[in-house]
Amino acid sequence: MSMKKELLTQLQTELQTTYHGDLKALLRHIEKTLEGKSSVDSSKPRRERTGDESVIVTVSDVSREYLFNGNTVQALKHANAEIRSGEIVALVGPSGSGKSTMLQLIGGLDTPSSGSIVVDGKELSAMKESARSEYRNQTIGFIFQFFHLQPYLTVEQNVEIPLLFGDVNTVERKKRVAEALASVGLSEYAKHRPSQLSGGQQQRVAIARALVNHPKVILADEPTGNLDRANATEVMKLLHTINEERGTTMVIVTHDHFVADFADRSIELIDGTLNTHI
Amino acid sequence: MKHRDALRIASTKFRTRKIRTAFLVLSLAVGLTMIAALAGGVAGVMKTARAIFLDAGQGRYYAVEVTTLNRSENTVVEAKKPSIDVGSYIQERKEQYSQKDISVQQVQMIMDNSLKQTLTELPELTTMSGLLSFQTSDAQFIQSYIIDPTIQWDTPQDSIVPVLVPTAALIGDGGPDWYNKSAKEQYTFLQEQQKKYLGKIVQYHSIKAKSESNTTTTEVTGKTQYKIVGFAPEDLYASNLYQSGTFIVPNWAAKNIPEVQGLFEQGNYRTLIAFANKKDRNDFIAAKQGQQVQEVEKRTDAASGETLEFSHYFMPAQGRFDAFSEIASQFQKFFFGVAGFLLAIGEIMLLLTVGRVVADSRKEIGVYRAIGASRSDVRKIFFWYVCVLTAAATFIAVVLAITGQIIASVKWGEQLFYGLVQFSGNAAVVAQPKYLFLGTNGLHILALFGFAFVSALVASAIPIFRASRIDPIIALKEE
Repeated sequence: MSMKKELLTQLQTELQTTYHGDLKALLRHIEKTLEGKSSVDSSKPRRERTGDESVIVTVSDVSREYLFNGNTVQALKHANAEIRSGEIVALVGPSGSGKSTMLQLIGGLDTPSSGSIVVDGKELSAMKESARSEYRNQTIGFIFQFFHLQPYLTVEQNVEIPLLFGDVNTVERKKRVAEALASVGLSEYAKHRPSQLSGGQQQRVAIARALVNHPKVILADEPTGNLDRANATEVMKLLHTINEERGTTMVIVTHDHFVADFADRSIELIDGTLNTHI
Repeated sequence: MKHRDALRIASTKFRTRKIRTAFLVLSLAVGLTMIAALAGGVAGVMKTARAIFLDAGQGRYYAVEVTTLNRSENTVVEAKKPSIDVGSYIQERKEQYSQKDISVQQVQMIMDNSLKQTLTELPELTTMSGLLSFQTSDAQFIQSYIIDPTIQWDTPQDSIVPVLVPTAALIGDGGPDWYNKSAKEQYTFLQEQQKKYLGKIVQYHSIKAKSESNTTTTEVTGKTQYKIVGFAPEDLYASNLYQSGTFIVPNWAAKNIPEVQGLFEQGNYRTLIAFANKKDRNDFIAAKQGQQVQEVEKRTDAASGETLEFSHYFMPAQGRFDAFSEIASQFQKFFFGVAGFLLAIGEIMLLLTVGRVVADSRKEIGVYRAIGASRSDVRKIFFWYVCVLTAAATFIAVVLAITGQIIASVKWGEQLFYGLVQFSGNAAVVAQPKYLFLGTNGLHILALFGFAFVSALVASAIPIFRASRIDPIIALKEE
């Protein structure tokens, strides 16, 4: 009886902390676990690999420390990982485990306290600030949990912004914006303002913005965290389609196993430590 | 990122965030409006005051030389007033009226009243019986008082001599209660007088008499016609003694027109000399002060063989110009003090406005940096945003300032104007501006825009620099 009670308590905790009350997702996870298809399984990628994919992201012995109220906080401890070109990798773990830190380091928004990160042949820690800005503009596409669209700009103006920072000429800008909006199915909303769109549509605009410079890697920080299940599914399917069509590498931070299930594989972070290695 | 793209983003942000933008713009506009309104209002008043006090040639020159002709005793000229010096005249009046403490101003009024009495006895200015004297002058000294634009003051003509009539003569027409009139009544009256007499042609009559027991009166009508082309201010020359009966003619008339030349022998004439600065004038006067007769020059009149003595009597230049200069100088100091204070307020408001803009935009900056903006790109966007804000605020300030100046002009302009002209004595020649305080012109507007932009950029330099260094990770976490 006590074992059942313990199991029930564990399930309740898992339901609340990992699945946020989404019972269906928990049941799906249990089903896959029972079928031997755990989402946290590094040895079985979702898509078939040809074996020719090169490593595009290399994280080597990376640590990141912060000073907070006089105390040192270690967000990442000696992390090592490799991500191949064209992969969709989910970074999973509980809140505060260092997932966003890892993403920020790969995205060049932050620099590691030690170790090195190489993306598309570029050593990030050696880069100057202006070079990292250019790297973020040309190599990376960011997608945020809260979309972060500029409310005073139209949809097409929001999508155009990375091209302005990249000094792309006007004709090319118009063409790429149109393509990006078409790829997310929002061409007819080009003149709308973000406030006139639903949450799912806004996130798709953010995806278009991330794609417009044809980046090598897309980094998504909880891309469905602010969406209901239906919209979340739409967004993840869209990302999957983009990955299939363009071969864009994607690293998705999530604590939602539903999202992780869309990935080829997952990397788990607990207290700043990578549990799974490739 | 190109500047034009940064400007485009900044303009869009300005246009679409209406309430917050309106607040920022208006708070900035308040400071700029105060500066613009004050500067423009002062400029408007100073422009009119300058026209009233200084634009006349008199205002630019600092000395007057009075030359009197001493007649030999056996010739008496029926002049309406004797040729005496001021000191003696005042002394005589004091004794006459038994007033020990009579002031110069009171004596002045008594003299003016007696002169006005004299003028009211004259017929209209179509004839000039009992004309007291002529004064001659070159155009440089009295150009601004000439209203008729067609005349050539310094070009000798055969039959028409241009003449300036002293304002005191017009006042005489107004009756003995002139000083009881309000400033507005005085101004209105003198403007009407100006219209009445400007352009009139007069001919001179002189009356010559002998002072012996048998008085013979001979009336002579001159051939020359005198055209009234303007009006000299009340105190054009140092002394008011002879103004009301004095006509001002060009210097060439003293040589070319016989009766003018003749009149020089009968009464007083004056010429004007100019000094470049007040110190030279004051030194010159101080050297002569108190001397009734400093030099005596003797000449023989070719026609009559009479020996004529010319004496030079120096008088201080008019006080009103000096008074105005002193007032203007003090006012200028006061104005710069107030302007400096308002500039400081304007700068503080700019600093707060720009600081607010940057603080409100932290998340936006974080997003831009995350998607590839360099620090320079962030600085460009906010530089142009500050420029657009400043341009809008300055435009509003100019409109508000001009509106304020017009309202102030309608409310207080008339009152101030009449007071100024009354003080100046130039009521006959100064036109009333429609809006006294409306002084903002194109140059002021340019200067205000220039000040606003320079101030905005100076005030925003540090906030914008700090904005470009915002940590995008921290900024993105702020919701």
